[in-house]
Amino acid sequence: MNSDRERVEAVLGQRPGAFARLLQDHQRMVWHIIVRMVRNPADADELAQETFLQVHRKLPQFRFESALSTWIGQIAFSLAARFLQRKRIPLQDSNEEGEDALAQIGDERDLASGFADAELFQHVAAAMEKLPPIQRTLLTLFHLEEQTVEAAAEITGLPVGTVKSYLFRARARLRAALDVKLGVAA
Amino acid sequence: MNTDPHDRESQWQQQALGAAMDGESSATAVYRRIYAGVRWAPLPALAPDFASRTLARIGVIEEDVGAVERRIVPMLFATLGVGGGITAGPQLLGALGQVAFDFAGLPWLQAAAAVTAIAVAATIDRMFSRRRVPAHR
Repeated sequence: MNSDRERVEAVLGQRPGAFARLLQDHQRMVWHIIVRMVRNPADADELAQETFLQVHRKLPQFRFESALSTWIGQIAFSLAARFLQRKRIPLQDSNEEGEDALAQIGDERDLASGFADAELFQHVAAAMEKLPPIQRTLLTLFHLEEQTVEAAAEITGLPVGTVKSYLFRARARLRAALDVKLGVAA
Repeated sequence: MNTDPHDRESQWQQQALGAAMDGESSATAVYRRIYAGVRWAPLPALAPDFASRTLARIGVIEEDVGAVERRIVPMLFATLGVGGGITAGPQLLGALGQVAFDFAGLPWLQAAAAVTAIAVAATIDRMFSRRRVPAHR
């Protein structure tokens, strides 16, 4: 949190290169949140730029009530969510597909050794594309960005319990999708 | 044995997560591989020039704001001057006509010093405003 304060004060004090450093430190997370939400790289690029424009404009209002990365993540997520809402793309399934996925998981298949790594990663990428935007974003925040469930909840504005539930469903759906792939391959 | 698929999957997910964190092997290798898959699954890459484009865009916006300020402030002063002149000018002229000025008694030296100081300050301000660049560029 101290380093957050130093970074913010450096930017607000117009220290040379301060905002460039802040951008370098957070661009990867912002990109991952947005590209997972909207998928299209051109749209994601535009929204990621807009995120940093807003960060630059609103930084004097940052009150250090959360980590700087969480605050920046919130801006990125809310811009991406608004973009999807404008396009009438639902953030989350209306039905309980995560629960359905459990029924498709077989007990016997050895997924651990069924795929080579590269093949598995391709299948996971394809399966993630089929998840609702909020689930694939939460998976990315938690597993790729190594954010805590609490931080992911703050970024997305969801209750912690809901984040856990979405993560659970998303993993189960990935497993079900991979199970199906393995069944086809066998 | 717990046969509820929800509980079973949840348990495996948690065990795999713990094992992944500890670096230990585990019977829940399936989810460990899924976690690895999420981590390494191909994702569109951030454009290499993203940072420079974003910083340039923020810089452009700052310059735009500066340009607007530069146009608006003189217009505002001009409007105030003209408006004030039209409104209060006739009354002021009438009042001044009744005042007898003693130019010989004015503190010319102090007035000249004040005008010079204002001119120097304005020149310095203009020089620095031209050189000013956004701090993050």
